[in-house]
Amino acid sequence: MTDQPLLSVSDLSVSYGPVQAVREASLEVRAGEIVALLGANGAGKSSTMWALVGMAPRTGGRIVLDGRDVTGAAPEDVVRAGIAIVPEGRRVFANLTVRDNIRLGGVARRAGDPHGPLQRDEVGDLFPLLAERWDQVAGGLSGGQQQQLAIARALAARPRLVLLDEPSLGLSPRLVGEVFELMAELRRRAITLLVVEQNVQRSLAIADRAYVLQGGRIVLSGDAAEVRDSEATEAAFLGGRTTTRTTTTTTVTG
Amino acid sequence: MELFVQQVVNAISLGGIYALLAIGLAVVFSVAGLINIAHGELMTIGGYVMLALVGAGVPWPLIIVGIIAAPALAAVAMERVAFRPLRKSGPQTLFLSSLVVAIVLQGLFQSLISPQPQGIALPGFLDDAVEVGGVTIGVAAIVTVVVVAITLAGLVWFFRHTTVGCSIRAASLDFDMVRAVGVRANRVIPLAFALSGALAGVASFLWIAQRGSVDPLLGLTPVLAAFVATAVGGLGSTAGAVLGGFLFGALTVFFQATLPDGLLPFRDVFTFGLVIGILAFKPRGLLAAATGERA
Repeated sequence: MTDQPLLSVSDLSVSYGPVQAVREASLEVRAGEIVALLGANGAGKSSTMWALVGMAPRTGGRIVLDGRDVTGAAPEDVVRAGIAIVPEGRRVFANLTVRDNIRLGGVARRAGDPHGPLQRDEVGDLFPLLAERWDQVAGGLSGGQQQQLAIARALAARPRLVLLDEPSLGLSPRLVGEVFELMAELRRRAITLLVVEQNVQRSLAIADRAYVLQGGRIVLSGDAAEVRDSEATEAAFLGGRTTTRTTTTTTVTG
Repeated sequence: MELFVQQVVNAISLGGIYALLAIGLAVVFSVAGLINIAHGELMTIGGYVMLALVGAGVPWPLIIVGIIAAPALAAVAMERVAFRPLRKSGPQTLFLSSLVVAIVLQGLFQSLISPQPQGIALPGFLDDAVEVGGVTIGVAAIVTVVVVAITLAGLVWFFRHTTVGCSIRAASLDFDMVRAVGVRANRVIPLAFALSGALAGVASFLWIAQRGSVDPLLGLTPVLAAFVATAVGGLGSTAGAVLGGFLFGALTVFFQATLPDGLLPFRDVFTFGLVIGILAFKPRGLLAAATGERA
């Protein structure tokens, strides 16, 4: 494995008309890592995620996936290059069956992936209930099952990197635990994760590294433990003074 | 009894044509967020292609191919010329653009062909009637029912078992998410337009088979009914479009058959009155999906 990060974002800016949601944010994700993207509501986390898949109005910056420049690429090409998104609110296709949700997730399988379409038994391996409900309509699934389906739909693209936007939002405490266990399981399967989470403590417990966004800027980055202990993290969530501090990054690629 | 059966067949054949048109409208609305006012002109194009091909003595199987293919191609061209450049401009702009397309096409039909209806020589058997179980039924109506049934069966298969069909259904709820999983917008949108055009072509053939002529405003009446059908069924829902189409067809035939002669000129008042009644109770249509908000 080379030292080159799987995803390298430099000076990303996103604007919705006059509203600048992300300001010159730079971040890196290495293969096999779980990286947490933290921040208060409106800090620019989701905008960053959507910009990575080419669906938010990017006004500047560069996005490189595995050495390939995907800046300005259409969503269909970004997905084929290897980034899949699990959006906030799950957004499963409620009127389609589990099977057809996963079929659409596999429309843009990564070029050069040897595995072919995601099969029912593979889905059942991670999500037994989804395999059981294979021919049921997604709208009839529980919230937790819909979250599983949203993740399975992303995995159907055979991605290198999965963007998880608020995967535990709106789930019961028990299901939240399952979501975090699942992230660990995905890492064991060599899937790299960039995670946006409201649940700061839990995400820092599982993540290798973290970035903290405040007002669209990255105000802190570093090892998960360092970010957890930093005062700037607290300030970012309480909306306090803007402290820009970058701790050294010491993570070893795993 | 005989009259009743005949009216049922009429209702199914009229409603079936409305349903085919309504599905086309729903499919385009799903992927493009556009209420395509020019849908009727696709039907009219099918009619004029039929006129030209029959006049040229082309064999019927090829004529039917032409009636379906020409509106499909015209719909793809419409998407390319009038809608794709405006895709990011919002629904009002798209709506106006389709209105302009409709007006321009109607003007072209009137000035380049004729404002008058042009008769089309149909195969003689369409004027015949056959006796089924002691009931006399027109061949054209039977052909319509059979063609609608085959087309709907094909559509069910298409929407259930093809990726494009699934994409279009998913797009009716959340097109942005359909794009985010990597479905190519520039492929699925033209395909949806092509499908809507092909269905308008089938509808055009069936409409003309019962009337025998084509004029510049051929598509206006049936597509107006189809607009109402999609509203009643639930905008963007294909199943709703079918239900709305058959319901509107049945209501029209019912009032046509039951209203006293003095009230017959006001048939549409009764039909639309009932439609307004339905929409008052179900403003989003009968089969609007529970999560029908577009993101």
